[in-house]
Amino acid sequence: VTPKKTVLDGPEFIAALRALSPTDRLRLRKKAKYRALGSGMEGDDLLHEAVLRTLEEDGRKCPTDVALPIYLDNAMRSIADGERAKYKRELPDGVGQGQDGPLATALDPAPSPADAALARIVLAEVLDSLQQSFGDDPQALAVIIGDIEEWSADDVKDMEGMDDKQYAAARKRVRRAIERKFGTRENP
Amino acid sequence: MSDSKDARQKLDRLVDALIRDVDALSDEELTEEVAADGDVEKAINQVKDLVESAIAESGRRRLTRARRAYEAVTAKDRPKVMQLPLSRKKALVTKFADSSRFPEKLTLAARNADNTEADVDGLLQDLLELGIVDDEGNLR
Repeated sequence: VTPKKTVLDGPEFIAALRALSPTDRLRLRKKAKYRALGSGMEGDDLLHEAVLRTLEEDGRKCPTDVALPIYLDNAMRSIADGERAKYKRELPDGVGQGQDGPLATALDPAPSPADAALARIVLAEVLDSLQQSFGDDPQALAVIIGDIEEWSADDVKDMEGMDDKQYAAARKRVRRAIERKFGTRENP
Repeated sequence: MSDSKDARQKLDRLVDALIRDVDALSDEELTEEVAADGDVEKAINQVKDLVESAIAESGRRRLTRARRAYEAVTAKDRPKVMQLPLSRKKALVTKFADSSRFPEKLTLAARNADNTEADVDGLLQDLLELGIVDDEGNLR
């Protein structure tokens, strides 16, 4: 009895990649930009790497029971996490150490130790930029804090007195601004 | 934030929330957003090219690995003289070129200072096949 295949082999994976719909491709690219946040990579490079590593003989494989876009998103998440560790070592001293304001207070009330762990430093650098971008947009700041702290949508709306439409608009402002600000190599 | 794991989780949560928002977009909304940033067809083709580039790079890497594995296997069977460092092989070829037994048509090539390793290996291979030198690079 031939054992049931649990992962796509190389040719099957390539065929599945080539069968992605145009909107699948656009969605993946957009997700890649967000997944690259704080990794020092560009979104396109992250997506490229996810495909490449799957095609490596000893690389991760796409399970047959997982949709390809979901698999690629998970792969990008894993790669970005690993890249943050490398990127942290390249950061100049002091980057991400001096931020203050509502985001920083909500995220890190304790002072950073000299040997601050990599995730704290990378996140702090991202926060520096978010703080600058949304410093005069309290609704957008509330959305970011809510996402990070896993608040409910109702809690975030209550925080800034937003109705559903204003909340949706604030979410979109945050997402689009992050996409434009962090989706290229020049930014963290 | 008490530790780095917590910080990383928070960054993940922010990104996961952004990803959920993208998943919630209809195809039409998604396309409208991309159109607001530029040419949709161009964006689709860029992703296609990116994927094809990764596939091609993977193929090149496999080929390189296969070639190295082949060379590693065949290197074991190569005559010892062929496994010497390039500088040593060049010195031997130059020395042989001065020998009266060296075929005249090879002499000029042997004395070319710009010979690559492939050129030198080719000359040594000729000498081996002609029986002028042995496997260890000694004149017979």
